[in-house]
Amino acid sequence: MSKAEWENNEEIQIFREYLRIPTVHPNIDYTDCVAFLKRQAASLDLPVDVVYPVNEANPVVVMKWEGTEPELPSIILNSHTDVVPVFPEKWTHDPFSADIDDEGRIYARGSQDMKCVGTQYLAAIRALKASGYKPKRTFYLTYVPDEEAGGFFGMREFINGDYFKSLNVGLSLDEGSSTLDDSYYVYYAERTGWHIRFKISGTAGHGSILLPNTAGEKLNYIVDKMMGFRASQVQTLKDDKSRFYGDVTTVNLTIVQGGVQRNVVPALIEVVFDLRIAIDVDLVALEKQIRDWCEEAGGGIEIIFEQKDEFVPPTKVDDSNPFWTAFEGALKEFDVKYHTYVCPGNTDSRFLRAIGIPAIGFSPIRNTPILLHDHDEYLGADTYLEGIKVYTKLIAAVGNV
Amino acid sequence: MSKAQWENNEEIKIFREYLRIKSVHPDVDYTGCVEFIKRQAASLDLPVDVVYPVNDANPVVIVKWLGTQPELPSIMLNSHMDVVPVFPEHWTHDPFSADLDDEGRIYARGTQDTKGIGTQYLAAIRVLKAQGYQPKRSIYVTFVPDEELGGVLGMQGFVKGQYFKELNAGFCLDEGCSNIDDSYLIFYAERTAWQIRFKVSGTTGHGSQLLPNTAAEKLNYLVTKLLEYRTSQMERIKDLPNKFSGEVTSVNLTILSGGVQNNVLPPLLEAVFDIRIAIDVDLVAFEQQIRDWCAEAGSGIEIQFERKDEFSPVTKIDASNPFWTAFQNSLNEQNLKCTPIVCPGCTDSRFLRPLGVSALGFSPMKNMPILPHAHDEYTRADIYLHGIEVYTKIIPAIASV
Repeated sequence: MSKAEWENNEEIQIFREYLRIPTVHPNIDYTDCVAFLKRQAASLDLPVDVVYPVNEANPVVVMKWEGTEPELPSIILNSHTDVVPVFPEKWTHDPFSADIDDEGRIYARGSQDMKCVGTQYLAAIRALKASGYKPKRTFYLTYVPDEEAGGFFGMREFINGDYFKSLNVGLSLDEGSSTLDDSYYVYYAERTGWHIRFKISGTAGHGSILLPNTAGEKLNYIVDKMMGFRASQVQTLKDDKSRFYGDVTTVNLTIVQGGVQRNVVPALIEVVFDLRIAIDVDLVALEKQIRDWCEEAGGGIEIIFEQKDEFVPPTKVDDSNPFWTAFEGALKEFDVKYHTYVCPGNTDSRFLRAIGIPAIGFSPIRNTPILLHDHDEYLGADTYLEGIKVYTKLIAAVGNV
Repeated sequence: MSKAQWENNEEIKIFREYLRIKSVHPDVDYTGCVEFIKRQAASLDLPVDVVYPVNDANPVVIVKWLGTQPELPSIMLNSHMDVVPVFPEHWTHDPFSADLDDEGRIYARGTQDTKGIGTQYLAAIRVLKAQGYQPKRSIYVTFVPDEELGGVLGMQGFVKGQYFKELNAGFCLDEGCSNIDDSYLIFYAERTAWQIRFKVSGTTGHGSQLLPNTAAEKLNYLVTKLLEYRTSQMERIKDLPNKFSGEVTSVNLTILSGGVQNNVLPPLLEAVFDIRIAIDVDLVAFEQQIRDWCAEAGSGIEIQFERKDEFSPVTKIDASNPFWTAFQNSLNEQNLKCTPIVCPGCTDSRFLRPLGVSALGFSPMKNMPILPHAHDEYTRADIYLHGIEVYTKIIPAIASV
């Protein structure tokens, strides 16, 4: 297609309109976004609700496509409406312009993460309705706020309410990520996120004296152990090319702080680590290991979990899960390569899996640099249109399970 | 002596008057000290100069006792007027009360560091003058400001000026330190003080990723190397006859900072180390070793010397130094033991030794806890009075060289 053809394409136009609404953190005003989504629902002749699980500033928009057997567990097609901040000076196009270049690249914050999915669902439904298709199961298109900030004002609370319960959800589709090659990634699980703050106390005194049991020595012991663990995970990835980095545990030091004067040995040093723990790791054993390291370091270390997610069971991606069989079948029809992986990051799917709802993370973006949260985030128009075709098949397949 | 007798002792009174002057950091007002020292000089019938080497807020007071051979290199009896801050809630007496208890303990900030030696010098001179003694070499009792902050506004500036040149100092007694056993500690050298800030840059990104070349990995390498070196030095102290850390190089981590968000890899981590380098270490090689460790850790480490003192030559404590011989003989004659050591901290003597002035750090306190900068700093009245007697013998010995 040419630039003019892309620009005239109705679905591309809808996508770009959505991208131009700056639902960007912090302090997002979702008003225009809600209005846009209501118009889309109207154009598809779908009823729409707007609910507020936490507060007036954070709406969840729910469109309903009723199935022929509405008593069956439903399917939610989820996406988040918020996007992460931008540094405009680092972009070559205005980040909310949805400029399209001659190669068909559409530049905007949210083009990959994840407004594309939100409007692709709608496009797929439009195509399916036009073809006369009616799903067996009811579909709910859910547009949630606040995912990028942890979902506290969005999905996390939404699933606790009576409204959600009334939806009787049996499957969720939500975001995945782009890939660099011509395969798709499909996420069936997420790693367990811990943020641990170590408050390390030790002997204080003058900087010229070799005191024993200083906080610095203990810090070194702990950091060295954690970095050693990190290095082992890096090595695992190097040694086994079939592994994806969602298959290993990520360990990162993110904050460190202690001491105020150059010539005074500080009594307290704090360090924070961000851990994303692989799903095959025994969490109890890992916590014990960390506590043992603190003892070996010399004691006097307070361990504070600033985030301690529970283990969330993976969604089955084998033939014991009929939704997966249908999903996989649809992908195979497309003759496209795909891999099932543990998601290296965090998405709203984890909240659903935690309450026993199978959730599949999938964004139909391939042969595209991974630009979520980055400068010059873009999506190719052809890729977008291909994604609509994929969803058309996927939705039809899972809708008839 | 009894408490009443100590309280009535003229020298004890003068000492306590000096202690009550609040020449405490920060923003020290030296006016009271200058007036006090001038009065003492007048009482000794000695001329006194006040000079301002760096600025009007930082006076150096010099009480002058002209010798019979004033052309010979002179003797300096140095002490500093400033004292370090206090946390009064941790003291059992008001830190500027100079309270005297029944055991003769005098409590005040500065009793050990270093107001004691300042008034002891003058007290010894009073005794010597009463005996009709005339020194061969001129004796200058110097009272400097700012020593506790590194002497930049005091001795460091003073020694650069014409006034100091004209003093033609050949030998200096300066502050030492109390000792817990029955031998006086004598400082004959100081370690070289460096304070280095390492600014470690690395790959930034989301906490869920295992990116290469992160600041944390590099920092861990560097801190591990420095603390391994520290451990090797602590091992050496175990093998030394004197367990004073002035004999080895001390390395301490004093400041650490970096990172703002629990889930973001910090692009920059900073660490400050306070290093006091033993007098037998090749400084060029030592700096190269540190730079090599930074290079091994990975590129992107900026090294900033926030303090980089020059090597200060040692004062000879053997027969080649007649001042040492006179000093040591005097102590021997008084049946007093002394232990020469490298000063574990820093004193103003480091500014004098590079100019060819023999300097010994000596505070006549033994069988006393080491309390500079501590809560409830105190000395004992009997120790103070005995110290005056010791100076009364030492001063003529060194002035006669």
